[in-house]
Amino acid sequence: MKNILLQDLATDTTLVASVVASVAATAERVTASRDEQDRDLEIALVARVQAGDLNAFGRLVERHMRRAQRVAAGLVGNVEDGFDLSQDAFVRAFRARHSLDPRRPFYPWYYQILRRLCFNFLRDRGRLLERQEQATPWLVNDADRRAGRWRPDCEAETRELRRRLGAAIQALPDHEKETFVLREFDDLRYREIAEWLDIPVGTVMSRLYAARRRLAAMLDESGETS
Amino acid sequence: MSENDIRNEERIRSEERARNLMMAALDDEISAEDRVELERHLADSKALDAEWVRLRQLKEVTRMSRIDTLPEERWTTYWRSIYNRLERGLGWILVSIGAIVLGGWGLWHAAQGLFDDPTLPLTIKIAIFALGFGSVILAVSVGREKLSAWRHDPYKEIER
Repeated sequence: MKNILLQDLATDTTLVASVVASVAATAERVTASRDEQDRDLEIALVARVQAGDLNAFGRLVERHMRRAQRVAAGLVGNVEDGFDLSQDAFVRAFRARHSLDPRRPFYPWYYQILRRLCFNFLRDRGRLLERQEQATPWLVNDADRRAGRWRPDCEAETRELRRRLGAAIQALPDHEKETFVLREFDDLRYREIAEWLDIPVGTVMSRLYAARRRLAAMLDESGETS
Repeated sequence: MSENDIRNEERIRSEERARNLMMAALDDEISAEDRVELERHLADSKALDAEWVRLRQLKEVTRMSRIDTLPEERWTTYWRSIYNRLERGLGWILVSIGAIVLGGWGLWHAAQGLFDDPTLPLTIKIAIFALGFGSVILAVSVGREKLSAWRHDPYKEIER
C-alpha cells in the first residue's frame, strides 16, 4: 500500500514538474515572439523615419520619451531639464536621421545624442558658475519596490536621505554618474552599458565600483548609511 | 621582477577581482561559482567585508528610489512640441535663405545705382565704399577671433 502511494506521489510530482516546465517554455516563447514583433515594428518605423515620415517619428518618440526623460533627468539632476533635453535630442535625432542604421535599435543611437546634450548642458551650467545643489529633488520613493516596507515614522528621514543621495550622484564625475544612472535607473545589464558606451564590461564594473564607493563615502560623511 | 613585486601584483589583481565580484553580486549578474569565490574573499578580509556591508546598504537605498516623473498632462504635449519645432525649423531655414539672397541682391543693386549716379558727390561715394569695406574687415576680424577661441577651447572635443 505504502509503495503504491509513493509511486502515485512520484508520478504526480513528475507530472507537475513537466506542466511547470511546459508553462515556462510557453511563456518564454510568447516573450521572445513579442520581442521579435517589437523589433520588427521598430525597424519598419526607422525605415519610414529615414524617408522623412514625421508620423512614424512621432510613434518612435512616444515609445521612448519617458525613458529618455528619466535618464536625462538622472544625468543632469533635474526633472524639468531632463524633459527639455530629451525633446531637444529628439529634434536633433530627426535632423540626423540619415545616419541611422535601420538594422540597429533606435534608442541606443538616440541615447548618443541625448548624452552629448546632457553633458554639454552640465558643462555650460558649470561655466556659468550655477552648478549648485538642486533646489528640486529629482529622486522619489519607489512605491512598488518598497511595498510592505513603508514606515510613516521614517518618511521624513528617507526623504532627506534621498535628497542627499540625489546631490551625491550629481557630484560624481560624469562617466561614473552615467554608468550608475544607466544601471540603477534604466535597469540596463552590464553588457548593454558596455555596448552603449563602447567600453569593456570590466570598465563598467570598475566605474560602478568607483561611483558606489564615492556615494557611500559621501553619505557616510552625513552619517546616513551607518 | 622581485618576489615583493609579484606579491603586490597578485594582491592588486585579487582586490580588483573581489570588487568586480561585489558589483556583480549587487546587480544580480553573478554566477553560483563566482558567489562562492566572493564569500571566500569576504571571509579572508575584514576590510572587504565592511565595505561589502556599506555597498549593500547603498544599494538598498538606491533600490528604494526612482527618478521623479512628470504629471501625465505634460506627456500629452510632448510630441506636439517636437513636431512644431521640426516644422518651424524648416520654415526658418527657408526664410533665412530667402532673406540672404534678396538682401544681397538688393544691396548690390543699391550700390550700383549709387556709384552710377553722376549727381552724387565723390566724397559720399567714398564714404559709402569705406562703410562697406569697413564692415567686411570687422566681420572677418570677429570671425577670426571666434575661430581662434574655438581652437583653444578645452571642451571642443565634446560635440554639441
